[in-house]
Amino acid sequence: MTDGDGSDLTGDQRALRDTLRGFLVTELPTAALRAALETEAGYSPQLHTRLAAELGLAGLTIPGEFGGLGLSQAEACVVHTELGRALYPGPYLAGYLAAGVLAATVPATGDRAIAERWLPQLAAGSVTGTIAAADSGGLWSSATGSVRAHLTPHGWRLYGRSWYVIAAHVAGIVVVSALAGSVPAMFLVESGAPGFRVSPMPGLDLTRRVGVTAFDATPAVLLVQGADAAAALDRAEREFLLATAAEAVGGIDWCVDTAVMYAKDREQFGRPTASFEAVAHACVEMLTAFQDVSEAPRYAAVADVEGAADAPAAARVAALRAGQAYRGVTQTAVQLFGGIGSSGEHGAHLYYRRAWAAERLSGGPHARRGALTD
Amino acid sequence: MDFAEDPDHRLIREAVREVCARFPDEYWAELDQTHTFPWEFYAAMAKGGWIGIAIPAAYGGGGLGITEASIVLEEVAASGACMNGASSIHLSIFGMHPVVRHGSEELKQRYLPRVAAGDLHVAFGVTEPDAGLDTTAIRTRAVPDGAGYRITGRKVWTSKALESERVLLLTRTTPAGECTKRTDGLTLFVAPLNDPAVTVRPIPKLGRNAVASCEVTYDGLYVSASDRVGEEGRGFTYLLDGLNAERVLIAAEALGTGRAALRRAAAYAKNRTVFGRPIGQNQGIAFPLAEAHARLGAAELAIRHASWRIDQGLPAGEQANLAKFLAAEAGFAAADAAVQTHGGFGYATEYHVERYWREARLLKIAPIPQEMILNYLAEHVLGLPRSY
Repeated sequence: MTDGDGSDLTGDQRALRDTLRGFLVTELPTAALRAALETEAGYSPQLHTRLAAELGLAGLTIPGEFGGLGLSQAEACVVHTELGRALYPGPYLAGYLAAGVLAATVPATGDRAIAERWLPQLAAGSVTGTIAAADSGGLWSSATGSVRAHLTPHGWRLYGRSWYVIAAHVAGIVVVSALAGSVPAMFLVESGAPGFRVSPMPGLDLTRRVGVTAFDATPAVLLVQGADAAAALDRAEREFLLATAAEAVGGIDWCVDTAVMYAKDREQFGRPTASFEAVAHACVEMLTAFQDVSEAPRYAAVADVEGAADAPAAARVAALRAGQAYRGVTQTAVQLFGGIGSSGEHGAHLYYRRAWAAERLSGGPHARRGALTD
Repeated sequence: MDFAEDPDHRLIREAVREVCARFPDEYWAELDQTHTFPWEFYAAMAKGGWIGIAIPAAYGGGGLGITEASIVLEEVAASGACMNGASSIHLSIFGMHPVVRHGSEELKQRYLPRVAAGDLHVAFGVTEPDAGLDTTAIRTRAVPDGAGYRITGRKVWTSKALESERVLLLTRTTPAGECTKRTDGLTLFVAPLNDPAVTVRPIPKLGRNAVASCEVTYDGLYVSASDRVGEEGRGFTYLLDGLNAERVLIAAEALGTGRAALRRAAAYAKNRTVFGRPIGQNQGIAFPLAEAHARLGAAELAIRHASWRIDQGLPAGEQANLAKFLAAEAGFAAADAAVQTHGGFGYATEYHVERYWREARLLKIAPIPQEMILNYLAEHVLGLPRSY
């Protein structure tokens, strides 16, 4: 409803949005979402396979030559918005980020072997990937040296840990940011490799599991190093910010729609609660928050596609503003749903949890402000 | 714990209300517009003995505490006189505190009875253009000259400088470089203002225009040593003594201003009919006013707690700062809600709430900005490292 007619979207993007929204409304109603969260994986692998392979989303931005659809961040923005709207709990974002780094190795190194081996599997959804880039504070920087790489006669070995690794518990391959001596580098580790261990980081967000990945003399394949690695990490972080900003917009959209519907239905003192000004005004505030930030991720995505100079700043601003709005809106939503809103059965608390947790996976608003100040 | 209102306090409230009732909103609006000092109001308050309320009885005052003084100032502000009313008497009520505490007997005899009677107006000159809150950086110099001192320098925001005969003036007698501590070497005087060596220039400003705040230039002003407060070089310490009480009184003035605004807003919301019913029936109007009431109530309790501690001689830094912070926020929020409640008329002078709003805004800045209050709480209460 709050989307208006999506007039900024192309016809194909609108179709993508409508297909995905329809799919998720049908396949992932609140009851199904709650049931999935109770399982060991925290999502339905069957549903994920359909989403990844049937709808082709896993290969959305993977180049056609490696089995993907070769679409841009503008389309990815549409997908992230819808997944955020449904609080889709599967490992989509993690794989998306890993694929982005792998695809970037081809132009950087001229070496196609790694991309040819893994990208088609990621695109088909037969392998799940993730990226391990954050230190214990959530900052995406290899400079802290939380993971170090050493070259041995048998190849590269990794030592150390990464935190806030999304979907680490189900990842088949992990893209790791590490320091090789004093040089930043990106590596690929297979989850079955010796010395590789994942431990859960139980957190606020029930719909997105994160973990700590530990490396102890773990064999790894070098992807890129030096300036190329720094650029790849920057790019991955930007993709992450764009995605979480888009997810936030989707989540806000859900909150507005659901709260307004509830306020119209729910009666107190013989009339709908929406007829009380305090409730009506709160709904309006939510709507203005939505309109305030809804275009920011899309603008940042398009700026990125076009290689605009302000693209990095636009991504940070989008993440900062959308994150802020998401927190405020979920707080209002929980209040508007009254007692029901804080019950486990209702979906509102899941959005509230997501809003507070999402930004923390890459250092939080503080890191955004710091980067924008610099 | 006893929350029962002291019967004496109730009497003070009622008596001050009676005096203030003779000076309606129209009186204050006109003085504010014409930038005229409220002489009649001041005389009425002096006649009632309210101006000397906190000056010791031995010097002709009421000998009462900060609690009583804060009640007087709250009621003055709450009458609709707001800061125009409160500021016209504030410095007489409390400004001479350093003289009471540290002045020689002769100095006290010479000035305090006249201040208590309302016959001697006093101003307060501390802040300078280049010193601001960093008080020890002041540059106004007092240099020994015969039986007294010559004072040269410039002060800003000296309220009532136009009307006052004397100013409690902070000067540097020993350059900071020659002192062990920067807080040493500052000296306080009860200096004359009606002197050719003094130039007073009012500063055009947003509100509280019945009481001017001025830039004052001292160009070799002669001050007798007998007008020095206490010892040379200890002026800063003497000032510190009164800071907590000062904050509580200001908080009470903010509280009163908020109460005045809320009273008008609630009355308007009850009477003004739009869409066939009083606008106060809309939650969008009612809730901000209810919230303003809740916040003013919390600020009032903080003020009572702080003034009680000061009167008991207990440390009150935390409580006084907290009271000032909460009251300034609550007072301004109430005035803002009152303007909004009045809609277009809130902007019109006729409804008075715009005047309250302009005056309530002052208290988030003066005599100390909210940010410095937070600095105090962060450093001295929470034990966090000093940031400035």
